[in-house]
Amino acid sequence: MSRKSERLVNLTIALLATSRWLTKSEIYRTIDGYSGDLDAKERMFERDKEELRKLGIEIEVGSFDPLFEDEVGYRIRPEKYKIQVSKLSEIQFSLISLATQMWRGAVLDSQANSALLKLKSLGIESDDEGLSLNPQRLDVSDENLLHIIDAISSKKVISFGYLNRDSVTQDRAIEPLGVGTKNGFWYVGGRDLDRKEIRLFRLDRFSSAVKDQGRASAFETPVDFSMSDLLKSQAREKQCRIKVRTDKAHALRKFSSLISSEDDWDLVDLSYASENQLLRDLLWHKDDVKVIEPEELVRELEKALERIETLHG
Amino acid sequence: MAKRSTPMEKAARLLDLVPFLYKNQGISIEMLAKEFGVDREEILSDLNTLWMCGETRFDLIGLEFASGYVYIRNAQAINLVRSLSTQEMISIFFGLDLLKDELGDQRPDLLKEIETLKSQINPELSSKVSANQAVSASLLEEIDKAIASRSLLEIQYHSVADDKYSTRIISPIEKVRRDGHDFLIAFCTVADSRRTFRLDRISSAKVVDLSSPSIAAPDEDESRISVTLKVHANARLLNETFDKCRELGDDKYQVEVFNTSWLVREIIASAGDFELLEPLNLRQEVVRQSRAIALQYR
Repeated sequence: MSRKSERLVNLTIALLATSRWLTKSEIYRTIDGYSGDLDAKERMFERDKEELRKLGIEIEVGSFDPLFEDEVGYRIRPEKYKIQVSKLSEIQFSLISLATQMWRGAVLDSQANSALLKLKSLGIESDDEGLSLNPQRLDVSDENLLHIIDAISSKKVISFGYLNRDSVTQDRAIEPLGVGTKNGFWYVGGRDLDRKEIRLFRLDRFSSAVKDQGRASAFETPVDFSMSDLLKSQAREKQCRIKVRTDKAHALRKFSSLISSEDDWDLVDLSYASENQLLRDLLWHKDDVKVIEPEELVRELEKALERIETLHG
Repeated sequence: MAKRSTPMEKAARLLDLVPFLYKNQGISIEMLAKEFGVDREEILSDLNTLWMCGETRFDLIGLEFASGYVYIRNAQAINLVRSLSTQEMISIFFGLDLLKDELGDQRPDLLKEIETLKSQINPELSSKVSANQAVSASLLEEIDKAIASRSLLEIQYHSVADDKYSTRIISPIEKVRRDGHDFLIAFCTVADSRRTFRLDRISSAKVVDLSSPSIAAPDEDESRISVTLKVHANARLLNETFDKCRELGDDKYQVEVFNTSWLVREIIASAGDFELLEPLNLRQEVVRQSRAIALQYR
């Protein structure tokens, strides 16, 4: 079992140490572990290259003599292999160290740890500056998250089962662009291939394992894409005018601006994102809120109340 | 800890071991295992494998560890710290975002450092990641303090069912996490029984000493009652709203709730998607309260 890891390490050493292109035949000859007939060696080598690529190690392919289209050669450039962040201050290192602690026990725990190890290997000392923060845990054990992160970075389309409003699984396919958390929920942002627009998907509504579709680099990320903007975009851009009973409807007051107050009521302008959610929120607060404007909203509310009464009548 | 590594995970670790050992010559095997998050057996297997590697068959890496302390030489070709993988970078970005939330406005210098870090590591990738805290760190700290010192906590809690903020004195027991939310299980001193509080509804918490007077009696009914609902649309919302949902067939569900006023609110808020079938008195309550709302507009 350790033969394969041995071979991968030897291959990496050989490709890093060489000052010129190494051909396949040279590789098979000098590196332990390439055995069997030529076909077997070829297959082994292809798989090894793929494994190293997954580890983020870029193997360059070139040839000696462009005129003769000779046998191709391989190498790894040390400048590309090594870590780019060499100049980290002590305080920056401490920040990263704290950042990695957030993953204790969760799905990217070992990656966070290996990231920290690499930085430690740069020889940077930690400077706590008394940063005793209370690290919260990024509590997610969802294996889909790892898969999604890989697809985002290799720019592969993914497909998955997703629960629709009626709790029925639908097949969705997206170009994944980003991941994030908001209010305790995990979200994936991506371009929905059917609806042809960028949407958010909640990770806990995925009803199946995520699958790759097709090759890497299948799409481009829009230049101005920002996951944090997308998450905020549950943006409350519309407004309505309502009356709110004094000391009530705290959940709505958060998104309201006061116009005037009298007796038991405050007149406010409430900002909201979706009509559906607004209706729910207003109904939830029962007769502690009264809609003033727009008319259509009042009608929607009255229709909803009629529906409820008829059902329960 | 001890989960057997795949050959790829092992290869990655072997490559990372080299620059780490060069920087930490003479490190003990135990310490090395701990740093790499593996057990002693695994790290020894790693060292034994690494020992067999080298530029050629005759020019192997020099590793000495029989003494219990590890020394390395002749591995200069891979004495390079490997670049961060995407997963590693993303794990850092998430953590940095949460840190930003915690620091809030207190340390603008550190906030700036975090932004610099993100663009130093990988600006394109950092825009694809966003995390934020659901609960403030200072609140958690106060709660942890109370749990640790077995003190009482005075909290301001937004009681969702009654839609009001109330002050309560509680004796916190433990924090738990369920369905993506954090909860605090505590003994409510006035109700004289255990209650569950959602952390993101606690707006403030303060450790108090025993001599403080208790305040505010909670209005909740502590026993669970069983209700039957029919779903006309939006079944997913039903599952996400109610904790214990049992499917009865024919779009009917049995649900258990503590708080009937909260239940009635949720039924009304569903605008006809959910129908309360039983018990009859609650069904009538839904009608009564809907009429009260409609009356405002006549």
